[in-house]
Amino acid sequence: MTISPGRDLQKNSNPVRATYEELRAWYQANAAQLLEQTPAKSPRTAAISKSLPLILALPPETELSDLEVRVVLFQVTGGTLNWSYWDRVRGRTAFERVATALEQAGLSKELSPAERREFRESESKLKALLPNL
Amino acid sequence: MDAATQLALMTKAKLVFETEDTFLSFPVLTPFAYPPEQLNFSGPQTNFQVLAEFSRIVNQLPPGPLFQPNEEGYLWDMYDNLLLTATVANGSLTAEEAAHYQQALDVLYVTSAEGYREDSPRRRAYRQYFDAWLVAREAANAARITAESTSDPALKAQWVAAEEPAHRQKIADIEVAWETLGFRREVEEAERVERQISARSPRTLWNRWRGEFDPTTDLLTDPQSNQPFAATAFSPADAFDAPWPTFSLDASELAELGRQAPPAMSGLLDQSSDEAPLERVTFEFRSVVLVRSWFRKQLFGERFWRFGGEEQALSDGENPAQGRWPAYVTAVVFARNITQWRKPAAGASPQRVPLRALPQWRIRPELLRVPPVPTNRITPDPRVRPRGQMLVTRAISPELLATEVRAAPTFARAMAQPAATRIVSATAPASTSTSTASAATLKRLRLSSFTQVNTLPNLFPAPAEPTPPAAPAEPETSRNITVLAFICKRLPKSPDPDPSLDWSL
Repeated sequence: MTISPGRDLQKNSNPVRATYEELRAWYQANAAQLLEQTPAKSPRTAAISKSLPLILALPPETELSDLEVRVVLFQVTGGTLNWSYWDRVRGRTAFERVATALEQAGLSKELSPAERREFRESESKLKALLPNL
Repeated sequence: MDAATQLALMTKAKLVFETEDTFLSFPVLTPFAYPPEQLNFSGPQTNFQVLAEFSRIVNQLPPGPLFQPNEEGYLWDMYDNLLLTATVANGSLTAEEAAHYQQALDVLYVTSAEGYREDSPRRRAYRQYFDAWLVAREAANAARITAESTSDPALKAQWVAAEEPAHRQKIADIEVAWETLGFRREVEEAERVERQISARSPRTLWNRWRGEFDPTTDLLTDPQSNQPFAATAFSPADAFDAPWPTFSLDASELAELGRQAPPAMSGLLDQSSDEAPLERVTFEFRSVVLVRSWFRKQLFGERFWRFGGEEQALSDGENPAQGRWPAYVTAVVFARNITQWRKPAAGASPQRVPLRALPQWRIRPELLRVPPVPTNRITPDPRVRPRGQMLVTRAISPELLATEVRAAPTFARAMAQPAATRIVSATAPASTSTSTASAATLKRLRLSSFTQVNTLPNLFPAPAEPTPPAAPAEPETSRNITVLAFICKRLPKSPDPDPSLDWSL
């Protein structure tokens, strides 16, 4: 899987990409409001705050490679966006949406060591927002 | 009850119920007592208010041998925060491991019609036999301590000749049944595989744990206090329906156990009272394990997670432990049919006095906490629970501690009026859940519970001993279920991240 923004095939019919796009829209529409509603001392507040730069920078899926999409979705199941585990996005939790999409595509919810390495060695703009990956 | 008797009772309870990684915490300020039907959390008429009270009590941070309301928050808050904020190591299973793992899960769990993971029939049977084995061992321990402590040679001889062999046989019988009917080997092997393999795919397990605790539905709201709580019940759910073993302390045992008491415990008690020592105390007891469908204790011992920041450790794993949350209540010892015998006047028979509940302990007043009194009640945010909104005690004087047992209607008022033993009225209306989420949560709680094994013979027949006539007592006296102690489990060192794992993220 190579980093080649805009060149992957069948992007629009890909359930993984469709899920990415739904979640991106949801985060960008709701994260700031959720942050305001959550008490300041809550660990959820800290988690949302920490993820805001990534959320605001998430580009449309057409600008991302398959691997970049995977990396962002991985943040929902086990990374910086995991605070939204129980938040409902169009009737299902964020975690469920990601898990189902990955399962449909035959992909793991985990990033393999090879995928991590490939991402780290890529020129993805997301790298700066995910420095620990 | 005089200080010497209380000290002996605490000492014996510790000897019977404590293990290497547990300690007892005694509800010294507000002894909790309920009519048994109000502790029935498994039926359709669950008393929501009592469930809320019970859940809040057993999910406090146990501070030590004296169980006092505190402001440290609740286990569900700590657990929820942990699931949200911890960093989890990377890892994934090979196809072979995944298949082996699935086989183990198939032994241990089934999925309910509602989609909840619950114990398989085999694991449920395992738990039933384990419970029977544990109670049989506790009964044997209690009887052994009595025999070893008594100065009566006839009682000692009876223990050696008859009682000890009978207890041994009972335990052996249960162990045989546990192997066959309780699937002991099969379940323990599956649990071993589950532990071993799940640690290689930490995030899968972590997400499963997250999936089992949805704060928006698993945190219910107490209709009385408007405080949130995560429902916590106990197993066996039908523990009150069978005979219980007897816990007995006679005069010679009281004296001997008083001598054995660790200085740290005798230092807790206010010895200033001149109340005459009792002749004897008896009650029936039953330990029950707490059921929390939202909580997985395994998390604390796993080495594949760590804090994301500089948070204080939950526990350093030492004894005594230091940390943010070094122990939690894992079981409760209930008592019923509590009777004390007062020393008679010359020439008279001992006076038998049934009690509604264990009396309050006479604790040295300087050891009691005086937490601040909350000035207002907090309406819970459905997502973020206020920490430590336990209604609290005020300063307590020895005079108040000596107040006789009397009924106090509700938890909140009892906590504000700590002099009284809190006994929930049997006539209090059962306020049942009204929301779909609550109903689903209660159903899940029931699915997580088990009942007593019914294939064993009657393990604890009522003792056939003559009893002198009792002093006048209220008719409901013997029915009340009171909490003798909370069994608290120490956490291992937690977190204890394994440096050999892949922590990149």
